[in-house]
Amino acid sequence: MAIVSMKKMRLLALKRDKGRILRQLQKMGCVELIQEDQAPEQKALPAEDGRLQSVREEVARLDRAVDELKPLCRGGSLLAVKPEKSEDDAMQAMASEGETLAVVDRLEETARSLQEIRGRRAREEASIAKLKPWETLDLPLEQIADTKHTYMRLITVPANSYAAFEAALSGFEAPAALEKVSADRTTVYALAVLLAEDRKPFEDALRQAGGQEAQLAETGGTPALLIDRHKSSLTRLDEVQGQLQDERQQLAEHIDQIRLLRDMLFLEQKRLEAAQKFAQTESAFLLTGWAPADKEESIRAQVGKVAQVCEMEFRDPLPEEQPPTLLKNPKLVRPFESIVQLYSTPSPRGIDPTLIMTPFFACFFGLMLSDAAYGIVLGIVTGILAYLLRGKGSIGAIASVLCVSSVATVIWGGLLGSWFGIEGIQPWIGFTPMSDPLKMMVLCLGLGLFHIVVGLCVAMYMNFRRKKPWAALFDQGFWLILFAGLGLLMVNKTVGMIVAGGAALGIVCTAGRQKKNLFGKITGGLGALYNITSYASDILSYARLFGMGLATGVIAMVFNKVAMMIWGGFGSVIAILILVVGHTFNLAINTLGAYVHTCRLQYIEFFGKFYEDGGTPFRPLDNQGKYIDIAGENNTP
Amino acid sequence: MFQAFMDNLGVILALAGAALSVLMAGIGSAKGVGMAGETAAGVISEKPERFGQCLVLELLPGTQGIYGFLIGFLVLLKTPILGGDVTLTIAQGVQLFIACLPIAIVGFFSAKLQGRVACSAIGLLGKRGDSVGQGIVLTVMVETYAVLALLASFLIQSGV
Repeated sequence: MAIVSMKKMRLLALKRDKGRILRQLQKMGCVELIQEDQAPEQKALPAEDGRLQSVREEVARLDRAVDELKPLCRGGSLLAVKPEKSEDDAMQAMASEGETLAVVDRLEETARSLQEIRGRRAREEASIAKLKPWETLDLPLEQIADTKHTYMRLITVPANSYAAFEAALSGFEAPAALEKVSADRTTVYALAVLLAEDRKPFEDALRQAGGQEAQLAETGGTPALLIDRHKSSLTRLDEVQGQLQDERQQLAEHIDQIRLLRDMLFLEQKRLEAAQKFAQTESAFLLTGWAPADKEESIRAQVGKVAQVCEMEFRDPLPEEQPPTLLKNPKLVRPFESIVQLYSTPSPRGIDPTLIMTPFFACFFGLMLSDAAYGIVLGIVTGILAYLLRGKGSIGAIASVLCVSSVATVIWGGLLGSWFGIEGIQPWIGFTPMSDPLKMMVLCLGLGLFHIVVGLCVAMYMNFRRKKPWAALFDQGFWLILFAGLGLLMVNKTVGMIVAGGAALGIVCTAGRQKKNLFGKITGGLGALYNITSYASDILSYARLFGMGLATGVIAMVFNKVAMMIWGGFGSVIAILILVVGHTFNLAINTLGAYVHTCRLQYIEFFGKFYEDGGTPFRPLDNQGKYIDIAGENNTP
Repeated sequence: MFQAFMDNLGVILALAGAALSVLMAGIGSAKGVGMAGETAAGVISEKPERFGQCLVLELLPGTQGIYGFLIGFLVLLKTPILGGDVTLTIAQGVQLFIACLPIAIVGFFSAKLQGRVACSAIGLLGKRGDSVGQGIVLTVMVETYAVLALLASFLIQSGV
């Protein structure tokens, strides 16, 4: 249960050592660099950012390449762990930068070519579609032209007015020759030949029929021949496209190399961005940042090794400064930090609630899932998952949390006699939620009361730590005494009344002490006593422990009963199927429910008593990339 | 005929209650999950990587339907349908019917309202990826009352 205490670090060194120092700090991964506000008159030289710009562009370009190649690679699931590479690998990646970039160049070229091919294919296909109706016309298209005395055209006429059009043409002095080439449902395609002087009436008739001249831009053979030509160029385009795709498939083998280079450049980008925050002169720079207090010695030693001349200063944060928050917990508890972070980051001057929350989280989760067999299954599944992911990332953290909590699930399941919802198993505790709901309710609310009392004790501890013992007594102590008094009521009425009454009086007298006038003091005190209702509703809120447990047990029972009904002969196969699918569904939905409701109990009922948020998470300059991590001294997630 | 109806009235009332709790809580949950699903699809179309988080939020209004079904099932266990050879008096039937009301009514409304909070939380998730925790807490606040209704229903029916 600890928030790591931070020290403000200032480092003055020569610019020629800048790269080496940054690299060393990145490897150590324990300094968060910040930009210190400077008075305008002592504004130092602006940082140069030419290299940063180009590195950013390069990273974006490699990102695009990876995105393009990813669909071409098989495997690579959600559960893949970010691999950790050694520094030698990293050096090698930088050494083969040219080679990798050549791959990316080629990839981009193929993408452009594919784009062009798609365009050309579309054009060829459009030409074929245009020529298709004329395919049976046995006449080279260049021969469709006017002569001195004849007029010759390809025309399209709507199918329903074609007969009328034909009749109109037959009325000419020298009847026009009209040859139907093809027809579909709406349109007739035809070749018309007529005397040159009949051109005008012909055009009128055509317009009247709603038809028009067909515009075919191409020449050089019959339509059938032209279509053949287009088709063969389509085949050629297909071939080229296939070759390009094969080549991209081969390029996809380099994806890991591209990812590595991308991350190496990304780490450089991080360094350059950090360097932007420096104050610098012509030949020296000043670095400001936060570092965990216990790292001071090793930072001094390591940086001293790589820089010839440098001056370092470490000091405790000033009261008005807010250092970033870094939580430090034992290994078993560490995954639960993610639950706290999900709520918000604790204030650096507050308290890290992870350790004290962990047993409650596991206990409540177990009581809500409340089935020993489910606990075993969940423990195995999440255990494997946590092992595969090594607890990294958000999924890894949740898997670890559930794995720890599943132990409590097995215990509660055993206590309450719930194994896959099978009826009639003897509970260790003597009753089941179904047999004696009242006892179960008391158990849940009792756990809730205990949880809240612990929350108040933490708040009290905080007040003591800040040397405010009176606040501890007034704001928390009296409440604890009040609860104790209410408890005593059951044993001895008079003693209980006196204790509870005294505590209530204490609350009324002291809660308004911050208020200025007497009226404010009195109303403040009475208002605080009214808080008893919010404590009551807080405690009732723990009834959900019972409710969620009930849901798991009864749904499991439902599936068992349905399976029993059809058991026997062929029905047994279906029954087994129902059992497997049903229990899996029940486990999944109730794990989700237990998780979110346990979180809620921590956030609202527990944290509400003492938690102080408003911190910013500690983000040191580190060597974690998007796809890989470089092995370093401090790689805790 | 009338006599037969009166003899079975207890069972009929219990069955009506069971049907009611499954129906209303189920309809409410379907509405809530449906609304949240529509919003989630919108967010996923822009940010496919948030699918898992959206799914969690979408599922949250679904629990009321399960609670309604759960009470309905427990009531059925007390009728000849699943409970074997039992008869219910009219008074018992009325009691079972009343037992179904809390989860039926509260389940219906809380699922719909929770669906709306889930929609907003999914929208929030679309804008700020790190706020899924806050979104879940806001959504779960509504469910408290469904859990309380479930417990009330359970306690009433366990007295029969």
